[in-house]
Amino acid sequence: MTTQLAQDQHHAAPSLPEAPSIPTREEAVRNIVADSLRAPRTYLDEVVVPYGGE
Amino acid sequence: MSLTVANSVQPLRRLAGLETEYAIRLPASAESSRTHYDLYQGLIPALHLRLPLANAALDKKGYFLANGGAIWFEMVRMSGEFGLIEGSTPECRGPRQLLTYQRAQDRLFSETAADITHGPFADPFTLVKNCRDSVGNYYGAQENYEYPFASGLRLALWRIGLVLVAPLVPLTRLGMIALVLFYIILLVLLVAYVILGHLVYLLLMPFFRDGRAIRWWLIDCMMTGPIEDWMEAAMRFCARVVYAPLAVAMDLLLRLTAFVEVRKELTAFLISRSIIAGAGTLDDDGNFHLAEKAGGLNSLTGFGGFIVERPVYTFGHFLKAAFAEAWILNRRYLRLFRRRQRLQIGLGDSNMAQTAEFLRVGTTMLLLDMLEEGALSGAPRLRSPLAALHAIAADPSLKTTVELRDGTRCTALELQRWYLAAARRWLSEKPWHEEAHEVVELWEQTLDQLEDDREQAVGRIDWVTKLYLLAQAGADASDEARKKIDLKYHQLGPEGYYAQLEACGACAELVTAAEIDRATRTPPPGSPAAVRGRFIREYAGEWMAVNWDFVLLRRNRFRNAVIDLDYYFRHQPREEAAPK
Repeated sequence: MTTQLAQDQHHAAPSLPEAPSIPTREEAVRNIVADSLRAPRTYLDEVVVPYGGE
Repeated sequence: MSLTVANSVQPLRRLAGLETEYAIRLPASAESSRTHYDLYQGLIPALHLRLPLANAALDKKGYFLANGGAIWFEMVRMSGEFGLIEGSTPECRGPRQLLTYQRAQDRLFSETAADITHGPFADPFTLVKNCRDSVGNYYGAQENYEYPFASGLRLALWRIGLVLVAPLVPLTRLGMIALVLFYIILLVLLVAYVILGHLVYLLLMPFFRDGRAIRWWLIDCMMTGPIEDWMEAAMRFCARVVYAPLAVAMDLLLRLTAFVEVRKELTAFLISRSIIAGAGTLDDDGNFHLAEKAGGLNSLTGFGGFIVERPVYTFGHFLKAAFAEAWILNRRYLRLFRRRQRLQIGLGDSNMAQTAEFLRVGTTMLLLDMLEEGALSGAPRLRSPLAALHAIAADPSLKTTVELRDGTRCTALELQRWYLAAARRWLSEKPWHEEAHEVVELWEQTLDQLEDDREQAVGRIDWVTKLYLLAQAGADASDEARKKIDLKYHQLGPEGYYAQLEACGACAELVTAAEIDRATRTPPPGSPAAVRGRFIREYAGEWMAVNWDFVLLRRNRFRNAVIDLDYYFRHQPREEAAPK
């Protein structure tokens, strides 16, 4: 009976979302290098400050 | 009481603040008609939802925040088409507090900018905290430290000079009023020209087969870019001509008297500081430099942008004090007579790494403490400081030597070690000070890492971290991909490259997320910013205007109350008082 109840509760309980895994430094660096290859010209054009600042 | 005790300076207690210009990155997919000023206008109400703001009573558009800091739109062009979001931290004491408030500002601005969903200018955008854009324009960071302006004869000369220069202030103001009247007349004439041009064009059109040329001369030339640029340049030139007598007199006076001891003893330190605090950059030829801003500096002292100068020691705020709004004109000018003033340093990059930022301000504060106490003398003096700066910044191997005035040569590491040893000696004679020792320990550890095991400095020193990422991209990476790494390293928010490294625990963290979170809402204790922040919060919703020195409250329809923050801070509050 107890076992059955435990099984029912197990099936009824909402599953918690898995915590996002934290990448290692190597993975982060790989992601960065891969991202740097995606449309770099577009990114450079987006970071322009004509005339500069102080 | 002995002279030594009277001159004794407690380490890391002086007020200090950072100014940071953030580049605005609007994705190419976004609506292209938004100017940078539009985006700034969208940011302010979103920021207001997070904490109370008050209008700034200064010579540029901005708001002060309830945490004591401020936000500005750094207008590069009158049209507002291009510009930068500028943030000023509140006045802080000690590098840890300053680092916390700088991170709080970064987070507050970037999270708000990424989350704008309401209002007429509701375009989310990202901020890039760097000092050099993709085509080589410079902007970025300024440091401010409270420090004695001068002493003895130099201070007397400065004060006498201020009295002699004072008549130029109203004359310059009158000149500016005349110039504005001239602009208004010019504007009226231009409007009349355009209206007349339309009429003449309509009359002449039947007589020309192709009327495009005549239309350009009669109408379009007044509404297109080149003429606007020309007019703006002419207006700027005229304004500078009006300023010139006052600016020349102030420049001469400042060169003779301002922070002379700092310039003599600390210049070699600041020039070589790039090796611990440089953010790293790729130049136009793809060569790596230690510091972003170093390449753009072209003078040791100057107003910063008055002509084309970009100085190490910036004196622009002294000139601006003469042009403040009328209600504080006299007060701000009179404050220039005070012994303690704002020392502004223009040589320094916007840091992403906490260690680099902590060291940048911590080492500088410590050396200023020593200098003020008279415990720093005989420092190495460079024969050609700017040439040395450019040479040091261009050599990531750190082997370049620079010439001193005595004819010997040394590396940037050797210069830093000289100052480190002096700081160690000084601290050994003082009562134990936890944070000062932390600065010195971290300073020594960093110099050791740079000399012996540079990879240890990844995640701690920006230029080393950036160089590491570029090395990981490999020699085959295109110039554009390498430059993207250079820039996106500084992007605030989770997609930025430094932020990605930080998220995986690869970067040393000196302040906690909880400390940063608190600093986004409350001002630093023990600072005039605490009084400013309290007024902003208490009078939120009522008309008020604020600047670094005063709070202006409306007493009735005809009178305002001016609250001197410094006076209030020193005499009245209990909870904002500086901790012992």
